[in-house]
Amino acid sequence: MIYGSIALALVIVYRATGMLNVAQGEMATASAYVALVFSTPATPALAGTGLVAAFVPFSPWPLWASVMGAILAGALIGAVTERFIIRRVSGRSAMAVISMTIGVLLVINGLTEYIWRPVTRGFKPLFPNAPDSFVMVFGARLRFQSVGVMITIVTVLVLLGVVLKYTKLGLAFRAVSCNPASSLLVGIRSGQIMTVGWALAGAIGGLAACLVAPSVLLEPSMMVRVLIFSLVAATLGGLDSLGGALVGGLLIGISQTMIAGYVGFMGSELSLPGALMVMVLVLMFRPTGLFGTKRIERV
Amino acid sequence: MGFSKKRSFGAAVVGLSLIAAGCGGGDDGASTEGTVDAGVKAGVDDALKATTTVAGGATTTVPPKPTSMAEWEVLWAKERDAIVKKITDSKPAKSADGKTFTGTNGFVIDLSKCPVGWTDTEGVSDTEIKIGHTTAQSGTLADYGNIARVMQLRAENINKTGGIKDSSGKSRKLTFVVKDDGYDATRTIPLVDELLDSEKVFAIITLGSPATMKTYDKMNQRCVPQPLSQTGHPAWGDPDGHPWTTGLQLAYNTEAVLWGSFIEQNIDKIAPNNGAITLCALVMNNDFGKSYDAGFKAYHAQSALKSRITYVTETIEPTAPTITDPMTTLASKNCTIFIAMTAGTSCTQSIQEAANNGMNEKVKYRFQPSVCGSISFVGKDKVGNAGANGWYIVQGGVKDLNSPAYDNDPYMKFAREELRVAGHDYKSSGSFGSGYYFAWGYEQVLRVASALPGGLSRTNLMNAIRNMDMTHPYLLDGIKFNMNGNKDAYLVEGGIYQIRDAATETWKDAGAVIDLSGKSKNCKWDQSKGICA
Repeated sequence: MIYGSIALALVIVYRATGMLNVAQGEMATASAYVALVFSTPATPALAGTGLVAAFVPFSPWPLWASVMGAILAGALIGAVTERFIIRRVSGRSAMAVISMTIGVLLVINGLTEYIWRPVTRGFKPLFPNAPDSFVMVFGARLRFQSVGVMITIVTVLVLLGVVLKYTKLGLAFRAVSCNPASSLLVGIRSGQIMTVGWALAGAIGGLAACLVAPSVLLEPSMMVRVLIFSLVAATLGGLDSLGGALVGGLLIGISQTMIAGYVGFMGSELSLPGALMVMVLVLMFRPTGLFGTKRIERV
Repeated sequence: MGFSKKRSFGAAVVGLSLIAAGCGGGDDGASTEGTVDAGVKAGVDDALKATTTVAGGATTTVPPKPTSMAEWEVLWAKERDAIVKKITDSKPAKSADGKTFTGTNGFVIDLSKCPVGWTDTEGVSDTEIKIGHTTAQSGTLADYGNIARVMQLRAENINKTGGIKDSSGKSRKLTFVVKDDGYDATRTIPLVDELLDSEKVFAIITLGSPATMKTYDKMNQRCVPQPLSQTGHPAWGDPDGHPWTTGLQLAYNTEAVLWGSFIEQNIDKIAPNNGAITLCALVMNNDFGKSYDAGFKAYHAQSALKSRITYVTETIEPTAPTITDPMTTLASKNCTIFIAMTAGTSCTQSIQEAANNGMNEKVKYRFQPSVCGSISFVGKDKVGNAGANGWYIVQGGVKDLNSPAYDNDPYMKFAREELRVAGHDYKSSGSFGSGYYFAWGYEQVLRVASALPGGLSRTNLMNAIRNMDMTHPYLLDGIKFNMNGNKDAYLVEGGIYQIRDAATETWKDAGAVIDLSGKSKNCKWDQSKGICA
């Protein structure tokens, strides 16, 4: 679910703008720090808590409200990144955009490290996570935290599906992704749509980071490794398929576990190369992924 | 997706992979069964059987400790003078052809292979001592970067109070040139080159077993000190093969013997009537984790109770985002004892996972390694309210800066106040305490080396380190801080079993202090086999 949640954010940007945002993980991490700051009483050990205590009413906020703050912060980071950085190079080439997002990744990573120091921090889970917070399913422990994360991500997925399929905004998303030039001709403000798309992805990333931070533990680089597997998950599921992102995330996560456990010669060292190999094979033999849309071009 | 987009996408992922790889640690070396250090084993067994506090069964009276920093300073000055006298009396000298340095107590350095242009005093001017340091200030082990913050803070304050005085009357300021390697040994290598060739430092301190292992051959070939490395790998105890490298803390293989001895002492409580137990370990896949693993395998191989102990391991990559999978696998193995042979974030995650997957209730003894004892890893804010309650640790003989038990300890008060003035909350990172542990060592060895005839030089520094015998304020009473030329190459060789009390957020003693000073054999590390030859 960790990979699937970030893969979902990647797919949103791709669907809305046809671009790949490799800074997605770092944007999400920064949002999770915002939640941590909002939910923590003023302390010199965590930058920003003093300011929040002085200027934000009712602080420290309860966790759920802080996560809402993180979602808004993620949306803001996404929108600002698109409006002031990405849009300036979006007309050039896909490589220029990707290079720019790698730059954004490094900048955000550096800033979070500078502001919040490179220390590992605990992050309270949104769902019950005491040692006895689980139900037994066929002899295995299914933890409430895992169930909660799963339900949240699936709910977000359904809501997104509804928005993209049944609203004007969703239609505009698809139109811009399919053909930005033609979209402009029919009156769609593609710039605004792109900004909204990035904001939406940033918001989902912020939520995903708050969901995974209790288990991954919050530190400035927590999403770097996650993002690799999320990209593979998105590719496997189909870069323009929301459900595919989730399925791809689950498949990557489960295969990682199963391969390490049951294929003796593949130790933990091969988890990253193995995932990259999956991505290469998918790109070679089924570029649209498991659930992606096949493109038909007139010649 | 068109071809160009596919190509750019592939390039992006490969680029990101490189970034991810950059955040991780490369490693080599295999873990195989070695031989356990008989001296250490006998010392631990004696200590566990005896009621005394010192290995070997002899009761010693620990002299009263200073009650103020002024008294500490007096004691240290006296101890430094004694070391200087001991070394001076041994008449250390370079041979007439300059190819050999003969130090004290059998310590000899072959200078004939030092590179052309090498000097004994590079990095030392009339006013400054420049020391390089590679550490993790980013990545999952970035908390260790706080050690460097303390080193720099100590250097600033030492400089304000006159710096390091030389036997010739010069007073030098201490400068640490700190480089961030993200705990990735592949990044350490070029950083060490930069420190050697561009910064031209006097010595280089490395953090972590992988980084030190990857660079210690080069440092020794270049005849540049790598003093008091921030890692407990046993390989740093090799004065013949690697005279320029030393460690400071309890060696991981010695810690493994302490684990093994504890298990042997308690096995009948867990599995009476000659019952069998399963010992599970989570091993970090790098030189650090492998040295623990090799140390325990060696212990297991020679144990009289070998047939009763099944040793099961799962490995994790240093950069793995979560460790749920290997911990779930271990939870299914009916472990009787669990040992986390990990560092950094995975220490915290192992406690969380054990609480979540039932190991906390089912596994009688759960151990964290000595490097994970700080509040940065086991604090309630990280692992939840149940916390690390009931977890064991072999504390490497050091005090805990965060523990209220040391509220009246003059050195702890000094350290906390110095941090407070510098704007740091001492409770926010356990690595601050480690910083004082190491920084005190650097200061003292530099002061001793500077006070030797000829003043501060690389050879004098190494000779000073190999003949240290002082009272370290951060070590528990009864743990010695000493080396003995070529005979004993480990400064700290003791520890104590402790158990975590989550209510007070402290480690409580679960046995007596075990000091094994001089008992561990030197270690000529065989990288291909992953054992001390």
